[in-house]
Amino acid sequence: MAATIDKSNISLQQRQTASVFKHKQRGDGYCLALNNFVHSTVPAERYNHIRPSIHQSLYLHETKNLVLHLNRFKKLCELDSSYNYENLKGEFTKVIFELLSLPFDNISYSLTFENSVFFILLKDDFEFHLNYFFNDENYGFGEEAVLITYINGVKQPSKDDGLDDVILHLKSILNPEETYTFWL
Amino acid sequence: MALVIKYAKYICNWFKGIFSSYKTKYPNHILPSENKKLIVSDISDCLLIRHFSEKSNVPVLDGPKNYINQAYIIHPSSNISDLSTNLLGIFGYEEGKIKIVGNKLRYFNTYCQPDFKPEIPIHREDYQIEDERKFWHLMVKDVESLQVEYNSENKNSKSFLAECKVLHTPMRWNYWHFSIRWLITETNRTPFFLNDLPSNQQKRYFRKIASETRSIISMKARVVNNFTYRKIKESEYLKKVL
Repeated sequence: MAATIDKSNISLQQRQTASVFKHKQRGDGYCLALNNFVHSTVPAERYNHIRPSIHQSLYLHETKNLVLHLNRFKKLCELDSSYNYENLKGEFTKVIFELLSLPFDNISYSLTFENSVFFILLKDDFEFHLNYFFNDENYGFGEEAVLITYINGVKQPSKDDGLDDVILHLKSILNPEETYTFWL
Repeated sequence: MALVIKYAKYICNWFKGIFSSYKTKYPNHILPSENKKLIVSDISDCLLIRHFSEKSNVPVLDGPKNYINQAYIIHPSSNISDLSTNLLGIFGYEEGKIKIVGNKLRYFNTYCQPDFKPEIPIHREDYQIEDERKFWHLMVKDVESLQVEYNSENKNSKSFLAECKVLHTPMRWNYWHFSIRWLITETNRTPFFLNDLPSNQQKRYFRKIASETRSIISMKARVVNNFTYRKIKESEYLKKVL
């Protein structure tokens, strides 16, 4: 079948794209990429039925990365009987999804003996150690993240809070000019 | 020819006997003794070691910076608020392979005065040798006096300042035992060591201190001993130098 441009779909697709932007925050790496592509270079949404849009490509890339990390996490859980992959994959997905949306050069992690995942995140001169503690209701501990920052190997003040606040803090360090908090 | 083989076997067994008796005799030089004193001198240029056992599926080095895998930094049975290490020098890698076992485990694993005269551990009954043990190394100056501050707005958390201390803490089986501990300072409270608190009161500090300990050790510790360090002098640990 010959490929044709379906113009009737354009406005609907634009509305859908706009709704995607609403859910993205400024300072988010992918938000910047989408803006560049959609507004200036590749009018991908017009040829949506012929080739995947940039958004879809990014989504696919993001999904593949996520699956890779989930598989790695599963393997780590298999090596340590105190971790149950099925119980923890939801929480882990939440953390890794946030981290994948940030422009790190490298993300590595390992499990600790304190019911947490210890991430080492590298970006240029920055080195972040993020220890994410899983929800542990049996011992009265909720979810908690501790962020330790080094710039050129020099230790900076640490931050301890819930994951959302720690990620926001992380974004403010990585990109101090482009982080906004929206109050609705 | 048969005679030569017979003599070769005899010599071989003789060497084995000497070697095994050497390995099974407890190294008395690591025990506390009357002439020893508490080490209070500046040991910032000295090196600490801590053992770990490698698991087949878990690599020792991890990530692009080849840091020691978190699984080997702190063992599950270890106490993070009072992390055990040993001062490398008179205490060497062979001594680091000693594992205290048996009925007197609690007796030997008790802190004591440096001039305490303990029982001598007996091979197989009180200790065994774990040849597969590996070690990571950490310079004292890399952790000593490290300060971390947490200003928390969370009601369940606390604002505090913690300072890392490396303290000489002799044990009945090992005079060269050193502890990495954290001195906590809070407003309106006398500074205290975290390990002195009951375990239910350590909760509020535990996750932060565990993260800091893991972070600094992963950054500074190395499996290969390529550090430039000094060995402790007799005058620093003996009451009277002979």
